Amino acid sequence: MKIAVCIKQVPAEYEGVTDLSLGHLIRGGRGRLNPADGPAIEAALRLRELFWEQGGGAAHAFSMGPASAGAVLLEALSMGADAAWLLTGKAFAGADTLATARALAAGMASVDDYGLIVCGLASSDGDTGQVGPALAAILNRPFVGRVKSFTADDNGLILRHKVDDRIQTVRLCPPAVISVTRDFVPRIPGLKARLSKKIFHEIHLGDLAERDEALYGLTGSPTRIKRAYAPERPGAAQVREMSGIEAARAILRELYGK
Amino acid sequence: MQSEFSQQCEGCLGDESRLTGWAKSISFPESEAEAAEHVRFCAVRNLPITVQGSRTGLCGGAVPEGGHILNLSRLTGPVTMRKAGEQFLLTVGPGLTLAALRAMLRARRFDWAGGSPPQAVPELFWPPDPSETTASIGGIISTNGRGPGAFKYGSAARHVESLRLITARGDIVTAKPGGQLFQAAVGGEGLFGAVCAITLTLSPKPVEQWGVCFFFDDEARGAAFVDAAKALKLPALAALDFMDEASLKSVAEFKKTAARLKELPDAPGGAAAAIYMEIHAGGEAELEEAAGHLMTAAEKSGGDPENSWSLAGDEMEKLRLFRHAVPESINAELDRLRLADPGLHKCAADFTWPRYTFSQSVEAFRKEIEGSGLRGFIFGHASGNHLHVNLFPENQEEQRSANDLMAAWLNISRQQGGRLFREHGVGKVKKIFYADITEPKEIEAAFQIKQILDPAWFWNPGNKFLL
Repeated sequence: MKIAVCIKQVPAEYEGVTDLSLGHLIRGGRGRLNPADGPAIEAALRLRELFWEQGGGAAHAFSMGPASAGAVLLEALSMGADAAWLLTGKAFAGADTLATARALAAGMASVDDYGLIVCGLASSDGDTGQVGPALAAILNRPFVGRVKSFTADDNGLILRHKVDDRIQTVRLCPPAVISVTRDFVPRIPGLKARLSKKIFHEIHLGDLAERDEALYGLTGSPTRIKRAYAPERPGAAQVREMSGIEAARAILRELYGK
Repeated sequence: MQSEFSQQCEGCLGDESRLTGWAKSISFPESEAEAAEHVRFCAVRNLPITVQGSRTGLCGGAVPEGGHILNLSRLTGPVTMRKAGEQFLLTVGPGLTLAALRAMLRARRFDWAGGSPPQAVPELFWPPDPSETTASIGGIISTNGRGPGAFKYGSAARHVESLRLITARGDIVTAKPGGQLFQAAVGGEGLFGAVCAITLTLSPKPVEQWGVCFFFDDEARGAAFVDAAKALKLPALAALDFMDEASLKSVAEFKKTAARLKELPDAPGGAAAAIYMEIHAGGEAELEEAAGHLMTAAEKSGGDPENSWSLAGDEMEKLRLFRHAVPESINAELDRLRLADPGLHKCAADFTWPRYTFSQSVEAFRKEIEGSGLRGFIFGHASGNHLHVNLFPENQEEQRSANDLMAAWLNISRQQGGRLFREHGVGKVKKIFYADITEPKEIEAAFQIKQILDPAWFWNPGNKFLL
């Protein structure tokens, strides 16, 4: 089975990276792999290993963004992904989660037919967690969110996933889309893998079966930002030094007023 | 100024040495002027002062033995940047932590002397990297801290433009490299005054940085790789640290409860040694060339580069956490043992054996640890064979054996012309060793300097000298 993993480059630092008047991210600063996407890559690689005995498999990484976002795809390749693609070009710029999911779905379809699509929980910049479910809706596939672990048998995958404060065990027959939690601790690439020459492929609007620009990027995004603002920061943290008993009493007073 | 010691401040009676002291009063000045005023207040009352920063020291230097505690943790600024010629100089307060300094430099959150910054300011960093990021800059200066990065960058003293020091009379004087006061103050463990401002010499951040960890299934092979890596003399190799099997197992146990290590995978099973390296390069070509040489050397020494770890840029922080988890995990284990016997102390090496190869050092330590029957952990820096061997006595008899072993090792260091107390200082924990092992003329010289600069023995009573 072929597995696709969707990953994103996010700003390495968050101070001053948003245009508050437009509500858009200002690109150009240092970027990094979205923290929730390392576990997604790890899950995709483990799924590939799981399915390897059942006739082989491959894990392919997809991302969308400017050419510099290819750095996260190189990271995925270092970790062990078999190939990687970057959707890039002006047509995809300024996309909200729906337009992003449309572009990713079309991009993946232009490469192969993927039995499982794996996403991280949410990006650290937008923090919506909507791309995974939107992909499932666009592709008309089942979606299982917040997957903590999985096994496989002859009838498909058995997933343990978090639903509110409970853990639910479900059977999933691909094709499907899942999002995974940080329980999948990402492997650290070996030096040999990091040193090997790696390339990612680009996908442009013209490579897609559906080339209507109105579906992608800013024009394809129904989301309108009414107001963007920096969250109010609470006052400076108070540091109080006291004995253990005194500290316990002080915490109780703060919590319960007694 | 707080005149009586309050129970609320009892945490300030100890540091990471796990020693606990006593004090009459404590104050937390927030400016140089305030700190100087507190010093004058104590001086007229003949109240000796123990200076504290973040209290991360391992030798008890910040543990008071009576008198007043001058806690400088709130004296973090003012932070000012200026450019002098081609150098970028950042003045900070001694209480600023290494972590806060790094965050400040990343976000460029500081004022420029004279108002506006010059054009084209590169990304800057302060090279000294004692792996404890909560350490205060003042503490790092007072012990002349080094850390893994000393392999390329040397000790903290090399990266300081000047210091401001409060004297026992409450005056503030400036000390510059080359001067006697600077020499005495940097690494002087606060015995000659309180550092109240430090001007750091910053360096342009290396364009490319990788962290790499090789694992070996045999300790001797890991040590042989360290010798091979040192022989390469790669200018880009910034850190070269060793961890033995006991250290790796200690981290694995610690990882079960330490939330910040959750995002680290487990080290490969069966690893008998790990070598942690950092490569800091001016460009991709230099980086890849250095990494290629190290990979070849690791393969020749029996390592498996496929089974290694490598992370780039900001992600390297995960590997730094892994490296730093070694002393953290060992100290956590010591805390558990001390619940049963509060009198137990670990013995931690901080000396160099410059005439041995790294392999010879590891082999000698291993042989003696096994011969003693003590629990021991071998980890630390390859530079100068500066290993932080930790011995773990589990009863008072073993405590004596550990002390004897440490004294014997210090003697070897002395015979080899090594540094006996490299970066942790002497403090209270090692002053017996300092008195026994150090050449008498060296002790006499240090004593003379103390007499000249602090004749009333006002600063940091109980540290370094057996009186």
